[in-house]
Amino acid sequence: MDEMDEGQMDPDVYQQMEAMEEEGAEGDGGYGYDYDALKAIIEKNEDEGADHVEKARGANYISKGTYIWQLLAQIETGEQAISFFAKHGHNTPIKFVNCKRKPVPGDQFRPYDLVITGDDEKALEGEYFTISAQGVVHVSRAEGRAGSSKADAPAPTEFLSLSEWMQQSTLFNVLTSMNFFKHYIIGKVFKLWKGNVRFKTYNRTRQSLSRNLIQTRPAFLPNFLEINRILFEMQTRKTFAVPSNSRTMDLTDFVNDQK
Amino acid sequence: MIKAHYTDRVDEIITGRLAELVTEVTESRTLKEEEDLEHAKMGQAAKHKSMVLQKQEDALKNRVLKLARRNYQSLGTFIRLVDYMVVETQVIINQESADLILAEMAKEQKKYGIQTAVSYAAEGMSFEPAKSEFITQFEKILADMQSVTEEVNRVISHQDFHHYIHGLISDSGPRFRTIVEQSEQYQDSKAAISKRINDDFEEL
Repeated sequence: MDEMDEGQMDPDVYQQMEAMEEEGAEGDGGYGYDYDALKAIIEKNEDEGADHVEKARGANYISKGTYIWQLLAQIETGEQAISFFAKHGHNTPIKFVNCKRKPVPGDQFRPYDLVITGDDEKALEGEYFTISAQGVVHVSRAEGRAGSSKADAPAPTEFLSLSEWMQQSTLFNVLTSMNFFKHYIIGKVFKLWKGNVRFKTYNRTRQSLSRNLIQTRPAFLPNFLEINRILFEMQTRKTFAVPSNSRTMDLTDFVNDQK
Repeated sequence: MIKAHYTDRVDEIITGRLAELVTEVTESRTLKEEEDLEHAKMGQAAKHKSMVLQKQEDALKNRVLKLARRNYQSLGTFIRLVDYMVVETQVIINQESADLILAEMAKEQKKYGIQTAVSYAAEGMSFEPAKSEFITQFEKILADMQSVTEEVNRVISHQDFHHYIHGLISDSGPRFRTIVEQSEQYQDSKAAISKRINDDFEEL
């Protein structure tokens, strides 16, 4: 039962019940379950489960082939490790397991999905997680983000209790199931791609313009600038002349002044 | 006087800039062959170049001639561009002049004024010159301003450029008067001037 999730029954119990059912079906045609026999099976199974837990907790070290060794071998993910420690605490010889991030495709971000490293010591050179009965320790020896002011400083080691880790993991899963966050990375990459394409098109247009615009050609440029200067000079004088003398005049005089 | 100012500037563009440019670009289409010059060196030993150097020179010459031909073909477009720029300047001058009248009218403390005589009668007041006369005269001033600007020579009308712009335009290009009459900004300024005169008379 130890290696099974809660609510699942040991396969041995199933086999025994099936055998009883077959016997009963051949005999009196009923279901074939005998109360005493069932009780015996369940008690035996409970006893065996209790024995297993006792064995696990009573073991002093992990030797190959023992029950505790089997338990350790069955732990493959961070979640399984957490559930193991949540169940057994620090009463077993398994005091901690090391995990690393689960490799995921580039378009996904799953920071709470972990897999155990086992005996792979190289996995501990970079970023890794140590899960124990107390909590999860996140060790990152990787350098900080390139371009940041703290480029050479490693990220600090972080500790989270098992309950905090589970809460954050659950929240993360809930949030990432929302459409906005679910498609965020794809949307971000698409936006980046779109921006790059637009910039490339803009550059191409700019180059094309600089190559083909008449006024930018060396033969025309000096004259173009000079013509602009002359036209600006032309604009400086308006067709309406503001009377310079402070006086009151007739309408006719005013009109004549403008001629 | 003001007309002379505009005409001089446009003439400077036509004769001083464009005509020179046309000559330069036209001449740049033909390069003097060095070999021809070398043949002219009578009695002197001709220096022979290596084939590689000759090829490089030929490629460079071809490139320069190609650019020169391209520039020559663009002359008509450039002349049209300058013509558009001149017309745009005319439109700007006209608009800014109309705005200047309006700004002068809106000034609180004016150094000058235009006088009108007021007559009182049993039927009410009458003005001499009347409001309508003021409006008519100001409209005339605006029309004269347009005429002064419009009478400046067009770049594309110059006979030396006909050859280059032939086939590039179907009519006479942008028309100053059409642009001004269709300009909402100018029409607004014109209406504002009439309204200002009207309001001033109403206040009396």
